[in-house]
Amino acid sequence: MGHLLEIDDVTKHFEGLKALENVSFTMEEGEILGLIGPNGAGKTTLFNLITGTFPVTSGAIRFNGTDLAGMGPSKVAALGIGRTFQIVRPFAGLTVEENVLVALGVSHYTGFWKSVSRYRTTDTLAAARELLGRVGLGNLADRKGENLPLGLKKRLEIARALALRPKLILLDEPAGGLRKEEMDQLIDLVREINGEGISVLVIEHNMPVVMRLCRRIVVLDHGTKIAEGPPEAIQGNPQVIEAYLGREDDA
Amino acid sequence: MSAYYITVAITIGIYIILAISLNIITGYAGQISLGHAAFFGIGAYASGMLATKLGAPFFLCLPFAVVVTGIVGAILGIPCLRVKEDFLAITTMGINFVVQAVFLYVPFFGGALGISNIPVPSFGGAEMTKPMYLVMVIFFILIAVAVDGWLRRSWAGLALASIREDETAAEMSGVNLTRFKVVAFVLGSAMAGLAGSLYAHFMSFISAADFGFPESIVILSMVVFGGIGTLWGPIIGAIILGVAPELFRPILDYRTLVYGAMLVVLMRFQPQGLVGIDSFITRNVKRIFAKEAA
Ligand SMILES: Nc1ncnc2c1ncn2[C@@H]1O[C@H](COP(=O)(O)OP(=O)(O)O)[C@@H](O)[C@H]1O
Ligand SMILES: [Mg+2]
Repeated sequence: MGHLLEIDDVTKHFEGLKALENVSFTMEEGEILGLIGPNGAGKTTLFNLITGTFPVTSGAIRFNGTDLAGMGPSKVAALGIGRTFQIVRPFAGLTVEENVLVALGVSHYTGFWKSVSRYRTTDTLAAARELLGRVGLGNLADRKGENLPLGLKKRLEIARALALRPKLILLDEPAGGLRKEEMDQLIDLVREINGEGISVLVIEHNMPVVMRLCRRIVVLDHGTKIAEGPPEAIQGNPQVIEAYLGREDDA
Repeated sequence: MSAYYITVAITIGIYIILAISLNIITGYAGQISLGHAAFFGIGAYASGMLATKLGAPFFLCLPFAVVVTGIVGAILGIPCLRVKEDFLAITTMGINFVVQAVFLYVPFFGGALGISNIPVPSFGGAEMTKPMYLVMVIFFILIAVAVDGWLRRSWAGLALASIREDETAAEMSGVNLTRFKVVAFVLGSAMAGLAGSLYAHFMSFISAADFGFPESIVILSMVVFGGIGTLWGPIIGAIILGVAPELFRPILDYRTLVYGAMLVVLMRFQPQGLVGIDSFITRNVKRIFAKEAA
């Protein structure tokens, strides 16, 4: 109890493949927690488990003390967990504004009368404009999602996640594919979001980005947690170094 | 207007409702359906049988057909929830064949003889004339357009669009996939049931042959030809492809073949259809208006 997010002895098997084995850690409110590990370590799988894409094989995931078992993605989203994707998935054929409006409607998708009401109101459009302004997409509201460059698609995904009014957002490799100055802007944006009281769980391969963002890091390798602690301790941890170097040996 | 023109107009009117209803499922929610004629048929049989077996008046038969078809749409939608794209296409096609076979082989549904002597609706104590029937069909088209226009502006409509674009991102944005796919299936099926009821009481005789897979292709062609996912596309498509066989009688027998070939060509060169965003017509109309405004 008391933790924002509690990963409690979570195991996930995909038909014999052990993607995660007895992983446990907790996350506190207001924290930016880094989740790192070599490719195939199970990081994205953990995001998919948190968001309810598929069930855990064993163990439990609790959010603000509530067990998320059996909830399914739309309910988890409504509870206040937003996410972005390692391979971006904006709504390609919808405008940037509509992309954000979809998630702003989260409380309208449950009751009949709420879901039949109009979605373009002064309030919702103002909220969408505010969110787009925050991520620097204010003047691109009418652009199609598919017509943005990668860096802006990633920002659009962040705006869409924020539109859920989440307590926690999960960022899956937000700096992947970004240029240097885009990375700096991203770090500023994540800090700003965190400054508003939204907790952030971030998967990231770019070590400087992780080191600058996070005070605490969890390391996964081959589905198990091999380390947890502040960046300095992680950097010097022999097991972590071996996990990363071992991977380079394979390559 | 001669009786011939009125008959053609009523037929096209019924196709307009069918095209609008399929557009909700396939255009808005992105769930391909190759079996929409099944729901057209279920509405026609529900209405026709209530009228002939129990002697119910048309104005009871029609809402009955809408409700029954909506419910069946929800039930038959269940196997469609877990499949996508090609598998969904095959599943809906299968539904069409099964429904048609039930009409054809289950004696309760009249077998090969179908349902005959479905009464013409009466209005103000007398049988409806054909022009009156046309007015009624137009009235129901207006209702269908109103429902459609409302859906497009609602959160439910936005939820359907998000599902069409990306199911995973949609559910992570709070959209319950099952709930909204069922909404699309029920709404689209119920509206097809309405069209079926209008068809049954206009033709006075229906049989399984009217609601086969080729009919589904005709409806889908209208939606795609006019502009899938748009408000006016299905209506324009239904009018043009509804009139075409009347103008070119010889193609009537090859209608499915011609429409099928047209679908393939359209998908290759103009997938937006006639009035879809970025179609050659929309672009040129926009250009003309831009010139006039300048
Ligand atoms: N839906 C799935 N079905 C089967 N195997 C999967 C699935 N998702 C991930 N995996 C496997 O689980 C392992 C961990 O993958 P992932 O979580 O994507 O790693 P990463 O740490 O790089 O994000 C990989 O071997 C991957 O192939
Ligand atoms: Mg990953």
